[in-house]
Amino acid sequence: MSEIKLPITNATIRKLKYISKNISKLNVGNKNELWLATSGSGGGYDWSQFDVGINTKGEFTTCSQSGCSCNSPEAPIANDTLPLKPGLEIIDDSYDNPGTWLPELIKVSDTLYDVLKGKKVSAETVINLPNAEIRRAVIEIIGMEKFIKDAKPDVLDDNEIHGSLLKVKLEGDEDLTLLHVKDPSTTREYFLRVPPNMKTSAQARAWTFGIEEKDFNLIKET
Amino acid sequence: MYRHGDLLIKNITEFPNTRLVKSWVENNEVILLRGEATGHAHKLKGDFTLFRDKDNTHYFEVHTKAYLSHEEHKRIDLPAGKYTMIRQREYTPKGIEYVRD
Repeated sequence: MSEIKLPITNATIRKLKYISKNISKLNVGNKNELWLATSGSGGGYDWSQFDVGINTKGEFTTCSQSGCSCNSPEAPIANDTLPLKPGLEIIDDSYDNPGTWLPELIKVSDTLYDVLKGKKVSAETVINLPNAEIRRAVIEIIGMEKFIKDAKPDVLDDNEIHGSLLKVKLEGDEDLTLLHVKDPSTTREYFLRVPPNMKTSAQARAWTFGIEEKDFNLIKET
Repeated sequence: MYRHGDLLIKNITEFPNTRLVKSWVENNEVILLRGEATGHAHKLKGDFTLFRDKDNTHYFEVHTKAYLSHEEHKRIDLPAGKYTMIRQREYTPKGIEYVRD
């Protein structure tokens, strides 16, 4: 299959890096495992085994050459171009269905797919995503600052250890009360929805584990 | 108690009525919880016996020593004792759900 070269923007490089770091680890079904299969089971992401490019529409596609390393994470920066296979979607070249065009990038979540393609999504849509990890990934792509600006929360409590307790007013619906926490191991930030009667971050965090604030005495956390 | 990502490991004095799901052997290893999106797993390794009650809540007794491991969280060593495992949860207007990752 022929290849084309395209200029790569900072935005697409950012997306490519993001995918290499995060999305490749997602593992939620056969269709997506095709996409993941070439990353190996050791936890790392081997770009020499799975070559990904970005097409003219900013979507992701793969290089068809076996063992091609032209799409290594450094390549877009070094050359400012990527060898691409014409097409719109990811294909898998090395798993059960060689050459099969997958119908969409990764059908983990429509919202995740939308934001990867640069589509705007509302803070309410993001908050209502049922999977906390996908919610975090979407917020990371949108940008924390932009997400909070869009959500316009009131800060009920701000605690160095237990995080921030936020309230977002929703028209015609129950207010959202969110605990904004940073994981100390990964430094990733999460928004967890808690009951609307929560008053403090510590109370809310203890609630997420089903215990009273006075009993929430950690020896160690990671 | 210990927090390991979205898991809380709580020291307890007695087990409730449980049924044995895994017998103790040396160098035991079990996945306590696996993330559905990430595929990452909270594993318990060491000398322990695992129990589960009718509500599928896990309990375990560490006989000598054991530790928790995970791809993205540091190791937590657990001394001998009885423990229960609590999953982090979230509120939704329709009800309470476990945190999913």
